[in-house]
Amino acid sequence: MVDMAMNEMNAKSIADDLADFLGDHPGQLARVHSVFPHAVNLLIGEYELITLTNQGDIPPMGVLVDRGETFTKLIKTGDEILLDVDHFRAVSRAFTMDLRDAETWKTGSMLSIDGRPVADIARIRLTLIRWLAKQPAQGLLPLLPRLARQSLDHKPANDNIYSRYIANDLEVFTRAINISDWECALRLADRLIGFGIGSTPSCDDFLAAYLVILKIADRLNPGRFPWVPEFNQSIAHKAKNRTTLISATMLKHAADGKISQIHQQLIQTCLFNKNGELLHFADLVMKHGATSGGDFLLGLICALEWYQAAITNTEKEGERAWVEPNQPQPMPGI
Amino acid sequence: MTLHTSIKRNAYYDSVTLMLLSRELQKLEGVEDVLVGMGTDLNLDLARDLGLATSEFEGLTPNDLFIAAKIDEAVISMKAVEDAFKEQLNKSAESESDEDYQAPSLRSAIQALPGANMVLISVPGQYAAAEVEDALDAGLHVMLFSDNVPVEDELRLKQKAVEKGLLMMGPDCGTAIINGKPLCFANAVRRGKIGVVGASGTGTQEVTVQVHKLGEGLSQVIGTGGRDLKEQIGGLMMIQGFESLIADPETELIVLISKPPAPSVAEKIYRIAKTSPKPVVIDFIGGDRAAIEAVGAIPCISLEDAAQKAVKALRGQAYEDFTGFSLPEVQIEEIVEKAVAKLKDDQTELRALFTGGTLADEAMKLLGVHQAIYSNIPLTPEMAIENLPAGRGHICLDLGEDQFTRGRPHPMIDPQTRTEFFRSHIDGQTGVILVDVVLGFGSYSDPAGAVAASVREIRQRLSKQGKDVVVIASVCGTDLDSQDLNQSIKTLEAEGILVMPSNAQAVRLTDLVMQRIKKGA
Repeated sequence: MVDMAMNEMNAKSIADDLADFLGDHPGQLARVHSVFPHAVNLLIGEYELITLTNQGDIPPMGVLVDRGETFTKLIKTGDEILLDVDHFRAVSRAFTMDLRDAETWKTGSMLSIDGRPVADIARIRLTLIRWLAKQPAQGLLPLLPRLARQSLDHKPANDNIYSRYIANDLEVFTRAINISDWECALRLADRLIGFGIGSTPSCDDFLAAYLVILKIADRLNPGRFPWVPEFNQSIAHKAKNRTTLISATMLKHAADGKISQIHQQLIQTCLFNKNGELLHFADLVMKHGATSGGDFLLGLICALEWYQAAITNTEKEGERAWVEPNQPQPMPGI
Repeated sequence: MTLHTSIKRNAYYDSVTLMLLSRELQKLEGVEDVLVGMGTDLNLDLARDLGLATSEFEGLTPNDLFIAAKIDEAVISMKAVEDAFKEQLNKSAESESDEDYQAPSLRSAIQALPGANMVLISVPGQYAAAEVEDALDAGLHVMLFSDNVPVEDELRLKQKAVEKGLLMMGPDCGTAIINGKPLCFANAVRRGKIGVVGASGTGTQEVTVQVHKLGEGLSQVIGTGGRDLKEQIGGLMMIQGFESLIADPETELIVLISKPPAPSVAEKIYRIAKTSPKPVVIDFIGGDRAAIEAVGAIPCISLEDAAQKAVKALRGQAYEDFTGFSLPEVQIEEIVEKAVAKLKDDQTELRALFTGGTLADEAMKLLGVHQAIYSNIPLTPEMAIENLPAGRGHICLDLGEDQFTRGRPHPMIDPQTRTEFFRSHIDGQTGVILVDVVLGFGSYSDPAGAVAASVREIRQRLSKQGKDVVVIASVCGTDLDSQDLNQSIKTLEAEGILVMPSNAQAVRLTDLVMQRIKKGA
């Protein structure tokens, strides 16, 4: 039963892209697209999704709501919501949400910190692999030893039909990316987008990790990976008709280097933040992530393999310089 | 067998839910094969490959959920499969209901649990201060498990807590038992009349365990965080905890545990101890005995000694320093003889691999009289592990220190770090291995098993050189701990490990063996 009494809630955080969107499009009418216990998706037009969540993981175009009850008691698919800069209001008057005191979460804040040395990233990747090997082997995780190319003490069990079916395609995809054969990878992506169980199918979560890492590498090294923008946008474009709307939206954001906050913190810890608590964030992604955490983490591990190989990070005169592996280092002053 | 497809338009469920549902449906009698998924082209391809496709697949969109099943209609109908799906879905939804609610903020957590008066904060250190501030403003006591909190923040927050009459245990506070509720790492102990304030996690655990073993119980166990007794913090929480226990009607005797405090901090604590209406036992591990006695408090020589004196003082019995063993001297002598006989002449080195920092510290202080020990938490700077000459000498490591836990769990949670050190730091010149095995809430499910496995592996390796090794352990745990104290001891003893009833006794036995080796050499 939906509780028809008027409920008031407050937004704790709002993604900066949503704040901008609301500023540009005041008075929009959205329809409730899907309701989960701790998240609601609102659809504007045919493709624009806004997510309200009361768990700690805010996605791009999302709002974190400070409210204890599950959304399923409050709202149902098809309800209409009026969106304004300061508040959201259900047309049915079931709830209002005050946005005025919400902190703005920066969706693209990942590039503000110095990068880690590649050796650190390799160590972190190995730590993640070992940790992931001990997690419940759901989704694509039975493929961890194969895709991480590591023999592991704790071999994941619970092989499932989806992971068995897609194993070869995923492996070839990772190898194609590793040699920067992006055209081949793009063709293979046709075999991945939309594959798997759930509203964000497993392979989409896997790809999302790749897209974000590729985008970061591209931003840190303008012009060094010229294929990345086209590759990312092609994946996002393909996703529009090949997967669920929720998943296509996730891939669209990932192609722009945007991912939900917990995932963002994990990636920051892997690539940038020297003092981050890696396994704390990995655990949050696994347990509370807006997407299928294990599949995303598997994608991240594979994407980090490419990242390590593609980029060598050195310090030069107190600054970070990013160079291709096996290339001679520029001499100071030259 | 017949094929059926059930379709739910615009239905969204998370992957884990659907995976579990799929597995449950597969278990139903009469269901030969089943596939649940969103109607994406690739998922439909998979269904076709599995021979599960039907004409109903036409018109499916990526936003539709399908259940494709091959069933024996004599045993089960497709409606029954759909009903089972709905039932499992409801169960899943119930399990995700408010009871599992994970509050996104402290404010909503307080709303969800309006009667709560304490908050346990474990967020990355750089974000912790703001959370503590909010908790104190809301009138809540705080246990702060996070580390890497700047000392300036710690001081400010503790000052605020004191002003409000609240506890702010931490940062880096790993052990407390409040009103019988264990927090973070703590052992299952009976409730009783002894209150403890501890600035050291495993030191506090060892004292509470020994008190329990001696038949008494704990009223409150308050942690302070390791920096509390340094000059900068001034012992604010040790004092706050101490005064709370003096005021607590259930507490009849108070035990204070810490590494030696800054002199000015010690002075403040002694002043309170002097006027305390309740007996006070102080174990400032290696601290100033005369100063403690001068204020009428009871000084101790080890964590075990602190527990023994606390129990005896509570019972009104006479007490003296406990420097020996629970076993008769003759039996100890036999154990030492047998142990030394196992070793070759070149096996002269000690490897002490601790998961508990205070237990490692206590070991070095008790061994320090006779042995030069290098460590990552050295007693003096020249004994830092980096100064170990050519990699040879006695080593005592606290494997829970930051340098070993970066990017991986604490070794009390995950034994892997110590397993690796067994492999890398034990060789043919090792004579004695000393370890702690810490049971209790938060600890690994079978730490004794992990140690036993490492010892087995080491012995196999050394046997190729015709050698053995002496392994001495103590188990910090009670009969109420989930890991099963007796089974843990049996597991260790089955591997030929000498298990002593306390860290202090394990260290003393180690000392006797090491001295005998030295003489032999």
